[in-house]
This record gives sequence, C-alpha cells and structure tokens, in this order.
Amino acid sequence: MSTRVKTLVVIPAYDEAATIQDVVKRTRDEMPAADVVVVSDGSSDDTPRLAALAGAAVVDLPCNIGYGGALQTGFRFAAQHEYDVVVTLDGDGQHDPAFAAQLIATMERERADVVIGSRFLHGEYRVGVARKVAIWIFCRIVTAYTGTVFTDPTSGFQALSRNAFTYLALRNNYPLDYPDVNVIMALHRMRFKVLEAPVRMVAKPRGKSMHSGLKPIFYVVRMTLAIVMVMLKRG
Amino acid sequence: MSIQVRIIIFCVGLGLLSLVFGLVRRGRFREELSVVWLFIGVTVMLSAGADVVLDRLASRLGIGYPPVLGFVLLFLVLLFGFLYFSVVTSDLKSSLKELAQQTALLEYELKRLADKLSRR
Repeated sequence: MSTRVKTLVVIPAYDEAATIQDVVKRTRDEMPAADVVVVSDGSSDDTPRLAALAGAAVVDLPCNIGYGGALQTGFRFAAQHEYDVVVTLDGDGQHDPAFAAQLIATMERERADVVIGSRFLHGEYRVGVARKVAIWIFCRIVTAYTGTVFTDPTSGFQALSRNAFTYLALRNNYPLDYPDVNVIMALHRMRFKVLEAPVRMVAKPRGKSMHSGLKPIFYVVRMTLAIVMVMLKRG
Repeated sequence: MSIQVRIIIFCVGLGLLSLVFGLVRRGRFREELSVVWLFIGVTVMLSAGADVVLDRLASRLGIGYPPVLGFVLLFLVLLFGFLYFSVVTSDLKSSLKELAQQTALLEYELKRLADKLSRR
C-alpha cells in the first residue's frame, strides 16, 4: 500500500458490541497507517464506547438509518476530512482486514474507482441455497450491464477512490438499505471503473444476519426494483 | 335515503371539516397534510346527496347494484390517500437520514474540538 495515500477504514456497526473491539484492533494491526472510523447506526448496546476504547474514531448516529445510511455517513466523514481512499468493512468480523491492502493495490494498479472484495474468487465460501441463487442472478445482471465479470456483487468489503466516495456521499446517490448491485450499476453508469479482487471472508461469527428470516425475499424484490430504476434513470 | 340520514351524513362531514380546521389553527396538523382530510370532509358532506348521482352513474356504467360504485369510489379515494401519505413518509425518512447524519458528524467534530481545547 502506498504510504502517500490517506486511507480511512469505515466500519458500519449496529449492536456489534461482541465483535467491534476485535474488528477495530485487527484493522489497526493490519493497516497501521490508516485511520479507522466506526459509524454506530443507532446501536442500543455498548458498540460506540467499545469501538472508541479500541482506538477508532466514532460517529454515533442518533437513530438507526440502515446499513447504507451508515456507510454513507462514513463517506461524508471521509469527504469532509479529505481522505484519498476509503475501505469499508463490516463490524461483525466477517471481513478479514488483511486483504484491504490488496483491494487498494488493485485499485491503484488498475486505476479503478471501486474494488469489491469477492469471497468467491479466493477459494470456497459457503452460502445458503437461496442466497446463492440470488447472488447468481444478480451477478448475471450486473455482468451483462457493465461488461465486467462480477462474482460477489453483494460484498460490503470494498475500497473506494475519492471520486467514488465523494459521489456516493451526495444526498440521493446511495440507498439507505441495501447498497449492492444497484450501486455498482449506478457507478458504471456514471463512468466509474468498478472491479473485483479476491478477499477472504468468514461466515458471520455471532449475531443475526441482515439477510435472515424473510428478509431475502424482501431483498430480492427490493433489489430488482432498484435495478430497474437504475436502468430507467435518465442522464 | 331519508332526509334525517342525509342531515346526519352532512353533519358528520361538517364535523370532520371543523375538526381539521381546528387542528390546523392550533398548529397540531400541518396545512399541506390537512388538504387530503379537508377533501375527505367535503366528500363526506357531498355524499349526503350522492345516491342521486350514484344511481344514475351506476346505471350508465351498467352496474346493477349502485352501492358497489360507491365502494369503488371510496376505495380509490383511500388508495390515493394511502399513496400520498407513503410519499410523505418517504420524504420524512430521507430528511431524517440527513438530519441524523449531520447531527452525528457535527457531534463528532464538537467532541474533537472539546478534546483539543481541554488538552491545551
């Protein structure tokens, strides 16, 4: 990783008291030159305090505004403090921060605006059948739309250039709930270069997935609508 | 429909209108949101004599049982009301997100400045 690059790691977290300290510590160990900000999305537990104890800057949202809203807060923070690169990691310990440097290196080498960490390019990663089908369908759509092969468009482990995160920090440029395929397509539409690079992920160690219960069904409907909207959007 | 029933329906509509006016006057109900309810109040008042129009309209449209037309119109009014309030909720959610983000970022800056000052 280039030492000239001012990097910010954004970790959105909602009630992640069980894992947040470990995630922040591992991130700081792996990326000592980077700053770490935890965006607590209206957590009702000790997440903000524990994140601060672990050495992260903490932006504490007064209410829960959703995963996308929390990430966008991190992008706004990065834009205000003039960072060059943002790396996004989940607060549940699913993403291995050791791979963040590879994402940034790929971004620099390929002159990309966004590099998405794919769990499927780096060996096996088990997901449920329903999710596998949803990912497969969305991969086909986003690959056909952008002309670039994507294997894991729902991954939240990403590196973004200043141009990309400054664009996404604008009011209506980022969805509140699921910033996935629709964001890749919207970025492609705005002529941002989006690529994938391999990363390692572990299955969510604790807590409840945001894709549990009936949420996958809602997710597929919601994402399909978002994709149609991106396709129909003018300008 | 008897004249008594017509008077009661008219009074209910009038009561609804006065209630909405009163709420707006006391600042308990925002004007732009009250428009839908004022429209509903006027509709209720007019419905006191609606059977005359509905009967004719239903027969022109080939509807054998005129109250069905009344229910369909009522359903459409409620449907548009629901859509209107969904749009309002969506706008509010967007504004709430902006406010929450701004508040959190400002709070962070405030704490940072306070820490800086206390270290001097």
